[in-house]
Amino acid sequence: MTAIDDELHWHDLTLCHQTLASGHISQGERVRFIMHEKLQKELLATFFLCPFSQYCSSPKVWLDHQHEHLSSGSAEFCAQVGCMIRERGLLANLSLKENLLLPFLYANQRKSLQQAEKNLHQVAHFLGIEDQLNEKAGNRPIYMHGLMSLGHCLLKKTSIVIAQDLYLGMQAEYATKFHRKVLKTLKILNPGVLYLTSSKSNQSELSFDRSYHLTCDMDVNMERS
Amino acid sequence: MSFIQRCHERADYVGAWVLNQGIGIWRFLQLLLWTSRAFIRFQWLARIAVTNVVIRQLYFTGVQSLIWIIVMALCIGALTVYNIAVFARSVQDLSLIGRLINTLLVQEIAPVVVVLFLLVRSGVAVVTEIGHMQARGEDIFLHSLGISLFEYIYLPRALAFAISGVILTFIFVVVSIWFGGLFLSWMYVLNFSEFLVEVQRGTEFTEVVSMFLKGLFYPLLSCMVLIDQGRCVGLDPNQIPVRVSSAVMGVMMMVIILDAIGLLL
Repeated sequence: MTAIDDELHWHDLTLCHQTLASGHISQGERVRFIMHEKLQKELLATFFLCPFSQYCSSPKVWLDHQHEHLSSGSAEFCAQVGCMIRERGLLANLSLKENLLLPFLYANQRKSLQQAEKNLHQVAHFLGIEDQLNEKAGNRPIYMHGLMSLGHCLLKKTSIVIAQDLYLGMQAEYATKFHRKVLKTLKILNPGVLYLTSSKSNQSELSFDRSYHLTCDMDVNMERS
Repeated sequence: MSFIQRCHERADYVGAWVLNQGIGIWRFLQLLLWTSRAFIRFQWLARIAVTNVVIRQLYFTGVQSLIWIIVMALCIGALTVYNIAVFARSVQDLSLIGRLINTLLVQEIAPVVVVLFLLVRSGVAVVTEIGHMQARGEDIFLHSLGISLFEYIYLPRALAFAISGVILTFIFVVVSIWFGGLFLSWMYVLNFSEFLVEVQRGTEFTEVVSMFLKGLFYPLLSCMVLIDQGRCVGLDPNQIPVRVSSAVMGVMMMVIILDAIGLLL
């Protein structure tokens, strides 16, 4: 039996009194949503906070993963979907190593934890943080948050990545370095990418298959460009 | 403005207040339910990440407070026991010593002092920490890693408050009674062994159980109020100081009300 690619689906999502028509992202596809930062947070909450918040009244987001239907917010969903939130890639009171291993330490699955520990140094080497693994995270620049998010995606080997304006506020030289690492990661994992941005100009320099523009004005509807 | 309009405005105000209180109680009960659910499932015991946080929280809340609790027990205990003994001698009824120590110190002062101490020392930190997490969007970040906030953030804090609360209350009682007794004998008010006999005579099993229950539930419920207020911060960091003060007031009112209910029961 051939393996079926994972697909992230959403069904008529309501954001800012507007409906985002049903759609999906397959592995290898790159889709961009241009929307206000507040809407981005709302959308991220819809993806990950269900079923713990008011954002989730019915299961409107799910992942088709190997003939399974994984609801948004579930542990299985989060294990397959990588999330790169801008400036939210680590917890300050943990070391960088603990930060990278956090989802595996929490999940308590010995096999995946062992696998992650095995891959940790390779990933840290790729990210260029090998020497800093045992340092306490504390306050770090946006670049480091981005690297840690990338590290989570690499360790989890996610099939879908949801990223939020990663380059915003990053210094130019770090942005270039980071971009190279992102491209390499996309080449390795070939995930479906949902990129959330508030800017129409493409700062990420990624090529997108589809682009949606969602404005919060009542008279402007979603345009598919 | 006419009388009818004023009445309408007042009705609006009262209605909004009642609705807000209702929503607040419902939110608190939901938090309590989800956190209890996370506790009862006992999956947290097998999760290394969660047990690490529990141990860290126990250290911050319990171990680091120990020295302060002992100092307070020495001062408050000595004063309370001394005053009770002097009063009992003045009315020439030494049996009052045991009864009053158990009613006042063991059942009332110890649990309330410990919960107020935990509130000041760790409670404010809990609201601020959770408020900052909310404002910075770290809740979504943790969820995106498949981590439940109820299990990873709220439960360890609630457990630390409950476990530390009951142990610190017990330590407070033991230290204050022993030091109070020594202080009495040092001041030639009462012989130490005589004092211990009176304390033992006045001790009832239900009073000791009541102390442990208060020592457990006051800090636990206080912690849940603090967490609830921290969760209300939302995306606005300016709300943090507002929530801290309402959490502190909320906890104090809750302790007083619970104490009054306990007294009536």
